[in-house]
Amino acid sequence: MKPRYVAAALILPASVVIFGFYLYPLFYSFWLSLHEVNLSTGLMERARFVGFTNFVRVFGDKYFWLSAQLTFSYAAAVVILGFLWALGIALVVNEKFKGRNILRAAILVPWAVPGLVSGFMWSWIFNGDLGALNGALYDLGLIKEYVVWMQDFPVPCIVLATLWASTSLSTLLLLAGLQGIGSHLYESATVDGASAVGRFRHITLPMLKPQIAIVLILISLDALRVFDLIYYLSGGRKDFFVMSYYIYRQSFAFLDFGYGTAMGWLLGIVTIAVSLIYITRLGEGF
Amino acid sequence: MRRTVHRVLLYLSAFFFLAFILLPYLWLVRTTISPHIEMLSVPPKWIPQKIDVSMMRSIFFSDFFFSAFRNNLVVSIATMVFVLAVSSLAAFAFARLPFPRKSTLLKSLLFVQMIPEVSIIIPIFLYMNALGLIDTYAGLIFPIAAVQMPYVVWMLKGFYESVPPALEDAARMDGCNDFQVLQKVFLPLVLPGLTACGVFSFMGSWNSFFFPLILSGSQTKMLMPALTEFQAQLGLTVAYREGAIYPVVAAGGVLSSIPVIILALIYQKWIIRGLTRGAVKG
Repeated sequence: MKPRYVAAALILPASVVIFGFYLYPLFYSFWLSLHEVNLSTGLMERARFVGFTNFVRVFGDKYFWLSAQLTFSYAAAVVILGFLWALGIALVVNEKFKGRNILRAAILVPWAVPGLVSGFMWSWIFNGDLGALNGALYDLGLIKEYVVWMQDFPVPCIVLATLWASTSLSTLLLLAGLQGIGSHLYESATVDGASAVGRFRHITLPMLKPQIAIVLILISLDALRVFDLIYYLSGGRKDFFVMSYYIYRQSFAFLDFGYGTAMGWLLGIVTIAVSLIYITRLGEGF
Repeated sequence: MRRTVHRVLLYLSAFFFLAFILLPYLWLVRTTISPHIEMLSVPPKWIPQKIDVSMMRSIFFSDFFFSAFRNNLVVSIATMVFVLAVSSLAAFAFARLPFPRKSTLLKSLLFVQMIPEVSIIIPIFLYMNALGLIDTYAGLIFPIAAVQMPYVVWMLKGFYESVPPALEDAARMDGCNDFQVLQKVFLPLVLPGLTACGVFSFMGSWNSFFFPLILSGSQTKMLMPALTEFQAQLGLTVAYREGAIYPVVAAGGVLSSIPVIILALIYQKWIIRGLTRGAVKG
């Protein structure tokens, strides 16, 4: 049998599933966004075509733009801090020392814990009355009164939770990259008189470029789409939603499917645009 | 002297990272096993006076938790089997068979992974509803599987590509057709890859929240959505302050996450190998 027919048979099941549950919903979602589909139309029963009305409404929606702003600030902070954090751990684990395997195993723990549970865990730590953070800082004499962290410092809270919960993969990727750098490169550099900083700048960073590119993309995409982690971390504030959460509420709390799909598409476009920007600027390996 | 400073800094950093990773989770565990009175003491005590697992026990054996746990098991195992079966076929084709538009299809595999779940959930909900599949296992397995497939195919493709062509050529010379080559040569060698992907799939399904939140109902409620209802459903009479959902949800969170933590630690090597396979060239 010709390879192409065998191949077609082999990829058919996967293609059907991916098309049916990824691509087709994407198109259907766009179709929905051009219609009014909400409680007053009995959802699909009396859905009517309204062109780009939903999209126009999005542009005038103050809370959507607030959530977009929040999501982008969060994403920017997390990309920078998360990358540095992951790089730090990777550099440490790359060295030989006693207990290295324990640390490497520990990296997998936050990855294993479900995002929802991680978010809950941190909301409990940040809790204004009973949280560990307040307790520890108070016992250490660093604060006199308990701070309501999630109310007063919401973004740092979710960034910190993200550093815990979502950097494991980046750490492992960077570690794999570090381990692939031949030690002979460092040796000859030292012989030539390079300092530790110099070795880092001129050997480590350039050799790590492919992994750095992947890590930056992964962190950005995850940050733009975050949902599970922040579910418990909004601290009760009424204007504090990331985009995914805002879209979710509009779609399923208010049952405005036309509006929700329009926003969902916008988020999708933004996500793809960001990936394209990364890919074109960091070119290598694609 | 320089080396000593370096070593000291190294151990300090390692210790700091280890503490940062483990302490928050241990705090959660501590909340779960503290005696009721101490659970919400101000300022919070780190080490409980004595360990009290009664709340954990009553939650674990409650119908609500148990059925959610069972649902998680069913969906995670079924999804894993389905994803592995379907993806290994496609991955083999991508790795070893020439066919037109291969690179376009590969790129589209990467592309679909960028689509946010929230962008496709409404259509999925609508046609699952139309098919009567809301609150059924099938209605959960297929969407969750679809989200996992692109990267599982990608990862398995990498594992297939690492099989030496010489072995494949030998099998073909012995007269095997494509399917037999797949079965006799590739599958045994790709077993580590299948294990890694199996673990990813299982854990991904186990931990999923958003799709189950929308697509499951009272019959098939999975653990993560169930967690958000613990306070309401379990209504335990514990002497804690009103509005304090924490001890119950904390216990639920610990009980939900222990299985996957154990899995991750057992399959460490496979996971790390699978995740980083594509990252380093050569």
